[in-house]
Amino acid sequence: MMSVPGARLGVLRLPLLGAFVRWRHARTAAQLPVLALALLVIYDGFFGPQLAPKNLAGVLPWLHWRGLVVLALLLVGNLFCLACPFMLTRGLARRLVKQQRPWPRALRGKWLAAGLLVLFFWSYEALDLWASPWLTATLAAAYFVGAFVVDGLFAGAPFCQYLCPIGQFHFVNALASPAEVKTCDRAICRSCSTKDCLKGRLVDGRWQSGCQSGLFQERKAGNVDCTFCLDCLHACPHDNVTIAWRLPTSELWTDPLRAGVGRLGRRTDLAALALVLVFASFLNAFGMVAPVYAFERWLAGLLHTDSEALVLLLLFIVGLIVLPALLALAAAAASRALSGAKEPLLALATRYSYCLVPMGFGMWLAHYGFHFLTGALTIVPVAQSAVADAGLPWFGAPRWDLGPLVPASWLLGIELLFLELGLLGSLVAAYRIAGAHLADHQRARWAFLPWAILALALSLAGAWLLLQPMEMRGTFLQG
Amino acid sequence: MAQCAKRRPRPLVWVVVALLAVATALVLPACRGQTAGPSDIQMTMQVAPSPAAVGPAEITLALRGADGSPVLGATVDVEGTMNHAGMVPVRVRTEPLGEGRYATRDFHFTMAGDWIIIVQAALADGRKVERTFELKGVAGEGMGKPADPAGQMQH
Repeated sequence: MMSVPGARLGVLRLPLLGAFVRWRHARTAAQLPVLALALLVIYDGFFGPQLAPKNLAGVLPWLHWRGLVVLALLLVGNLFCLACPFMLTRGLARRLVKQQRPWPRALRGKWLAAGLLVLFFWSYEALDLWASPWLTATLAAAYFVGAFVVDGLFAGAPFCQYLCPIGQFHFVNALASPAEVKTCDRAICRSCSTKDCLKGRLVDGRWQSGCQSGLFQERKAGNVDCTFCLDCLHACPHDNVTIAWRLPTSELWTDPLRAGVGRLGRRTDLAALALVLVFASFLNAFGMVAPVYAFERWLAGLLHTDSEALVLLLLFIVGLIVLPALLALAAAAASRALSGAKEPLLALATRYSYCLVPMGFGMWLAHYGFHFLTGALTIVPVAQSAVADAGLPWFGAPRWDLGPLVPASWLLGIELLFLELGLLGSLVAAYRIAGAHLADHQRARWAFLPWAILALALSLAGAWLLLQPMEMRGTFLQG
Repeated sequence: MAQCAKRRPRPLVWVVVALLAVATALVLPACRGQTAGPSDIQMTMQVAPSPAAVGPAEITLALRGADGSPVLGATVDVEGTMNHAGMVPVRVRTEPLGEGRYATRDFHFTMAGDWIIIVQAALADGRKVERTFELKGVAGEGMGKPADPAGQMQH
């Protein structure tokens, strides 16, 4: 018998929570409250006051949801995808469209998703998404329509795997999470002839889907493309799938052949996606501090343009594509020169780029955690106000004095702690990747060094950003 | 795919989803637009220091009727907020200065950037007026970037 470490102490062993996860309607039960919140966001976004701090579409997605998803990733894993309300449309679409075609081969992989992520981050700044309840509501509604259309037309889980920017955020950052869906005992999988975790099966007369992402449990490793939908857990006839604890970032230390994914070290598209997300964590925070406006004005002057969208486009292309590529290739070149490795530069860059994911996750945690901790309680007056405006003064006068969850003096310490935890995770991951790649310890240390320096430089950049005064503007090119 | 043909309907889920959607629409029947109140009241806002910067500031509001006469005896509240969710708004009550002018005493700009000043006035005759002013580019502490160049705005 070959039991998997961590599996026996998994979430399923916990009282109440374990029973809930085993319940076949657990995911739907998690999705429905989030669906209700999404509908409220759409409703208030379209019909409520168009001032973001006073609208549920301004507060719930950009403050609470973002803060809670990074905390969930830190403490458990990809819980948002588990509770994703957009996926409720998949079942509906497939009841209406009986026959789905395969997703085009040319679009498989993460290049399109990486491009959509860059587009999303650019539009977030260029259109001031956070400041527009109407646009936020439109985006949420578009998500429902997009998921409905794509998963209605194509088989599997193409919306999640190849398109959804939120999904990619979770897949990549969940590499650093402490839990994953995995088998309890791989020997049971090897003796299994039905592969129901992949194909699905009838359970009590009702069809239970298998993994729509094609992650066959016997060879599934880690969180890439896993939406925590629990389909495999419920489809397995041997009760052999669980949510298991593990050391955070540990799935980066080795590079096994992963079902549905392949080897991370050979997935240039996935490494590119990871780099986009790592650098986006810094660029997204850069957009909120005072020096960014002077820099953007300088850039606009240099380009002789008054188009904010153009300046931001250039900034995002350089910041999310050119700079990450150059730095990763430079680190790979230095790593190769110091260690005497013979691999092509791109292969080395791909192999090691994942080590920066914890650093990026630390920055996301620091940034989104800051907003959540400073403004979590603003949901109270906004909800009071929304209900009162609907003619139902059930909750009294809005308490606009409510806001922070913790004293302001704690914030910088918490942010820096998240950031440095990310650095620690990246250093450990880089060291372990080098150790797994090169048997000679001395050469492995040399291979590790440039990536450690890059992670450290990112950490220092993050600390500098966190120490800057915040500044919030709708535009930087105002007269 | 093979399982698509085997999948059986799960109507209960979709009934619940549809009910939730309908319930949401029913619970919030009214549009949440902000009322501006009577349009015959003119309001002018001045901010000192000008250009505005992070720190204490005095916001003075002048209320005039349609005929230009000062609006006396009003209770005027000022709320300063920004376009990003999550910050606690700055809310203060003004004191009357006479001749239809009302000023804040303890208003603070807590962050640099673009501010939105919402003024709510309860007039002596019971009517309520609300006006919103945008104050762009409040400078950070020690930064000299001008905010609204004129330092005065009308509504």
